[in-house]
Amino acid sequence: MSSSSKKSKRTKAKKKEKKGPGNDSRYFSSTKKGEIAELRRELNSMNEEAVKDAVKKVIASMTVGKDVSALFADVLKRMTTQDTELKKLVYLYIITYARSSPKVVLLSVNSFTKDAKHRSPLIRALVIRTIGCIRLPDVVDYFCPPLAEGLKDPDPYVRKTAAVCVAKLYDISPEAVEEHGFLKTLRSLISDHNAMVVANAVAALAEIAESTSKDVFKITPDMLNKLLAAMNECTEWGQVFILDCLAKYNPTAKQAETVVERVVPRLIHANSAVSMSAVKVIIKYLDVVENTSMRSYVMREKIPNPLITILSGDKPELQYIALRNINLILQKEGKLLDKHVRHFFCKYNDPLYVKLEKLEIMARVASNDNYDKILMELRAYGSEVDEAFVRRAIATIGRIAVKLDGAARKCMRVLLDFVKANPGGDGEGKERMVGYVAQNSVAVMADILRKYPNRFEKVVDIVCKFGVEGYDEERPLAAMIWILGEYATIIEDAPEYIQGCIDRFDDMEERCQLALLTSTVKLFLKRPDDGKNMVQGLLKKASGVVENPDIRDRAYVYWRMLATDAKVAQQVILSDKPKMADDTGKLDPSVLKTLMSNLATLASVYHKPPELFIAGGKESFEMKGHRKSDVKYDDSDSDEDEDEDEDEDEDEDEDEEEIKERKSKIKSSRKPNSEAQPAVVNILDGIMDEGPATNASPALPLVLDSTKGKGLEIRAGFSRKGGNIYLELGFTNRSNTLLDQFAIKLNKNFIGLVPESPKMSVSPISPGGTGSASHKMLIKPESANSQMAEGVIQIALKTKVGVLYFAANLGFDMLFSEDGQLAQTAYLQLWKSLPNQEADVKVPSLSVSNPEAIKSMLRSSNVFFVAIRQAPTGTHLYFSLKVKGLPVLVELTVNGTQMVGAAKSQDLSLARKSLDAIANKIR
Amino acid sequence: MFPNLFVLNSTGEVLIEKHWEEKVPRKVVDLFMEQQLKKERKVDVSPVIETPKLYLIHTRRGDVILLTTVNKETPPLFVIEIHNKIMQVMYHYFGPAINSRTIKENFVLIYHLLDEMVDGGFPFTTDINQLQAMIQPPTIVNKVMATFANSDSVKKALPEGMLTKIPWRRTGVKYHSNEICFDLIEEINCIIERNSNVSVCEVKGSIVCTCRLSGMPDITLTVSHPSLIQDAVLHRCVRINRFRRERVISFVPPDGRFTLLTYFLRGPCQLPIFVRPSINYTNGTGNVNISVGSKMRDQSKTIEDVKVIIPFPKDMLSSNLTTNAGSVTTVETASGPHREVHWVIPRLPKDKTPVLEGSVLFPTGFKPPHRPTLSVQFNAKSWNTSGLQVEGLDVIDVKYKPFRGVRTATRAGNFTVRL
Repeated sequence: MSSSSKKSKRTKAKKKEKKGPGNDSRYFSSTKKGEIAELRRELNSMNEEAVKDAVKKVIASMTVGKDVSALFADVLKRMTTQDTELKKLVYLYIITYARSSPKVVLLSVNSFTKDAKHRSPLIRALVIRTIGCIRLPDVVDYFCPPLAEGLKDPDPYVRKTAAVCVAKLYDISPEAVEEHGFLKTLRSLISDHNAMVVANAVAALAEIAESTSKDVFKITPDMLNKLLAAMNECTEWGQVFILDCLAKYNPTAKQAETVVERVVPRLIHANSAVSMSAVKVIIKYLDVVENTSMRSYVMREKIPNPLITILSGDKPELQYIALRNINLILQKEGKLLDKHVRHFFCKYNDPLYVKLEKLEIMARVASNDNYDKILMELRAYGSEVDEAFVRRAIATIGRIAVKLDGAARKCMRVLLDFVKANPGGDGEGKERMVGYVAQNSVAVMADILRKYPNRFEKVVDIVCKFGVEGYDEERPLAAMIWILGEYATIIEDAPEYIQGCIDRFDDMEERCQLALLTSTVKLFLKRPDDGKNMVQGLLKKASGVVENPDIRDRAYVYWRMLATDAKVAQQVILSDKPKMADDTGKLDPSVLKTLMSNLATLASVYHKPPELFIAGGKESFEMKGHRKSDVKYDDSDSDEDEDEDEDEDEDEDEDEEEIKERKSKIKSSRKPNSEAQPAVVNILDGIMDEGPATNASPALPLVLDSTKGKGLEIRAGFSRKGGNIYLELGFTNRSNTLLDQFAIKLNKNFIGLVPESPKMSVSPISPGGTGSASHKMLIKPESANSQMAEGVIQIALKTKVGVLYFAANLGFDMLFSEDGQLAQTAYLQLWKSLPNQEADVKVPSLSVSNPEAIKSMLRSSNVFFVAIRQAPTGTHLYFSLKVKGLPVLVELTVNGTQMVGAAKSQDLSLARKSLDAIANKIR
Repeated sequence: MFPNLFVLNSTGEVLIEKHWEEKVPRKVVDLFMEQQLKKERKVDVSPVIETPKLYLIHTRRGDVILLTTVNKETPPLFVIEIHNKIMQVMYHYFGPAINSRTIKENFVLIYHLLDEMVDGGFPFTTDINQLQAMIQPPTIVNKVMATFANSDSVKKALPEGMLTKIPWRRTGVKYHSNEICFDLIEEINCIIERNSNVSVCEVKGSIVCTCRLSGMPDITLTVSHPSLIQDAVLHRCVRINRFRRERVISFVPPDGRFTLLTYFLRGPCQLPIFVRPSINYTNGTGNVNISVGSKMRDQSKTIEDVKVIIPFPKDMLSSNLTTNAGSVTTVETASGPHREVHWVIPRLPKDKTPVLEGSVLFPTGFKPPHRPTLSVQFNAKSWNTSGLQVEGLDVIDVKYKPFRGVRTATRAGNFTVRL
């Protein structure tokens, strides 16, 4: 391709003949030198065809990842063309590069406006579509008028495009969308006579609703009927949007019945996204349906079919998702698919991930009626090729045995067959090893023996006939050793086998060593004459020579026990063990409930509550909640500082004078706040408990409501005191249990925030009462995960009601360190030495415009005032701060209630984030 | 909803990338490739991969991978179904043997298609008939036209009927000779155990319609055993309420070929073919004896394109297999611990039972670590296992009398025999 087209590049006409215009690959090849210049020349050609070719080349370079943003202006010029294809290509280019050249996009606004009035709906829709893709907050205002036109366009094709565009715009600038009343227009589109427009309006509203706390999309009974009617007419995707939207509605019993009736025909659909969403709606609505016969009929007769149908398809990806969801549904409706167990049998060429999920379901659906069939199938898997699969199949047999008492004997028989079929070889080295199938079977047998003690003595005898020399895997060897100790009285040769193991002691894994210690002691207790020497030798070795502290510990314990009183030792070591049960993958009922209402989502694939999927989704909401609460944090913040400064001398750069001055400023700049007083009491206590957080709690953003929190409502935010970050929590106990004992754990996050201790001191909260906590956090950069969403901290809280998951927002200003003050000269020098690039921000209306107020407000979050300058453009305020060890220089220009900010730092992104945080504070 | 799409080949080269929301850097592809490297077989990479910041959802078809990253709750089935639709459209436009080269050759067309299929992250026009009306597939005629007349592959106007009540059919369709043909195809998915018991059996049947009719025909189709298709998956053109009420398939068809409905028969069914395999190992030699034959009562019906695939462990040294029908080849598989013997019989003979006999040599003392599973392919024409037949076919609302045709066939889907 490359050599021939290099030549052809120069002579265009020739190339066309050679390669044919239908083949786009020629655009990918190009000479390196002067490529951009060449393209530019071609783009400015008079011949439209040549231009079209050039744009295609530009797009090809774009596709292979080359930077062709330099051509933005040249491509943009071509927007006025009358050629549809060229126009589409130009728009395609604009969408990709708009962000890197926002100013040039402004130049194109005229052409946009012109095209928005084009007589072809195709072009009008194209404009609207492009507007949605540009994602530049600065130019949003220019695009609102054409969008408003688009929403009212006579052509439904344009209207449905415009509906989607509103959602895209909301993502960039919710203010603009609300200002222009687009949400209202969008809601009115639900009554549009074209079903496609309705579906897209629903999808757009749903997407907006997801990103805001506002109630933008409330379904009314009237709307319910419209949605149901539209569902019959729109595309499969529209059906998914509408069904997902129905799933969020809480119906009355009557409504539920109607909806279920109307949705049932959607269960069987070629598009599995439709059928799974329909399953979700029906399962949710059936809970409210009062007609029990209808409920059980739909559940039994209608729900299984779509699920099985997805499994019958030839798309493993869909099967996997379906299986994960089936797993959930089965936890709620245990017996739903008992009859369909054959559909979960693994096909020879299923990918591994499908096979493993199928085994999971097989264990779940196994009942006294069908375990025969399942075991037959599992037995067949024992001779499959894929090792990971065979191992799991063997484990599944064990799970079924533990779950079903009646199946245990049969399970044992299958496992025994596996052992017999894979004995160790007679050769040397690797050849002598017992096959992994047999080894794993023995490990599983040990589990069954634990669950049903003294039932399978014969099996034990047979298994031990094969000896223990051939076992080289950790778990099976440990299991074998356990069996030898547990059944020492039955197994005649037990002492010899154990002696054999003791000889290999040094080469064993820890798990086997521990098992061997126990088994040797058991042997001694059961058969003192045979075990005496062994136990002495082994304990001596384990407590003396071995370096592993766990092994030594256990050896010492046994040693002492045996030395003091053999009777007691016997009672302890040979006591009855607690019974085991199979609860693999079993979910907490409340988690299950949440997940059931989230069928077909990612949460249902990972079996994790959706709160853990916050990244991105709820961000804008939390940003908004943030601003308000920040001010509140400052209250407790500054008050707390007093005691912190005494306790820990971290604020070395500040002298007492300055602190006092700062405090008085803050106090004066605020209305007197009596609520802040308890904090002082708290200082006397010297313990971080109720005081400040109680006050802070109403202002803290709600992160978990009581339905999701199993009765505990949680508000959370962060504050900074004396150089440390604190997690502020406010609790409202709406459950009927007394809550004490809280433990906390943080998911890996973007800065490596970890709690100082997992235990949290919270005074007990009685039912109906409130409580709070302030928990000290540390930053450990080594445990940071840069992949995690910025600003979001995922938290797990262990309480009496269970483990709760939520996320709190860590404002960027929490990272501003206390040593950010720069002297004026140092500031100037640094400003000059830094590159010219700076982050900027505009705030049209400030809540506080008094420079003093701004200064004090910022001082409380470690933004340090450096200098002030009056100029005709306004008051220039200079601040310095330090974040992640890097100084950031900030200039704020206040003019009336308008403010323009600029920031510089070695790391531009730090400057940008810092500036945004500052702007948020004083907006 | 559907924030972005990366089209990759299996070595991780980005062929196409498109972003409908915030741009995601190409680096995410590396995250995906890391996961792929961890797996022994590429097909075992889980379709949904969790990374700290993103979820990677992918669909793999041959050498082409469609990858979408999401950072918030998004129904994975929805994403994968869009992938499937995109692949389906690409197959339609560029042929079933699509690969990196075809994608590169047609990237502008693919961008146009993607723009129509996914509008601002919301899937919209995914119907092939509609897309075709907007963007022409790259046929030879089009290519020639483009050379001489500089005509565009992108239509200047919206297709008619796009937003009508019948969006799947364009208006003004005209044919010289009008014909409508139905293919009743059944695919048998089953597992036959060593003792010849059928442990899993499922038939996936479909009625595929090839419609070349002028105007706006309204078709009513009745079948012999309507109960068989009770829970069928219907094409959206089928009037669902009438179907539920009367078990009659009534519809205004799209133009061209489409699957009218798909149904499933679960439970035991009549198999058209038998396979009796036996492989015995003694002293490192495997003695093979496999016979296949027709089980159909009506001997006039033929079974064609029979292929039996027998996997052997990689340790296999040599094989000496002979057959009285068809041909035998040994195939080295690209991955996995297999070497495969393919036995192909173009048409099952009626006068004898085809047998594959002989021995396979292994190193001395070799014991097979696992039992093989044979897969079988075949095509039985003019026969189906369910007995479903077209009973009546009415075409109204048109002035002409169309040619009508029905064909029946049964194929092996996932047809495996355990040894």
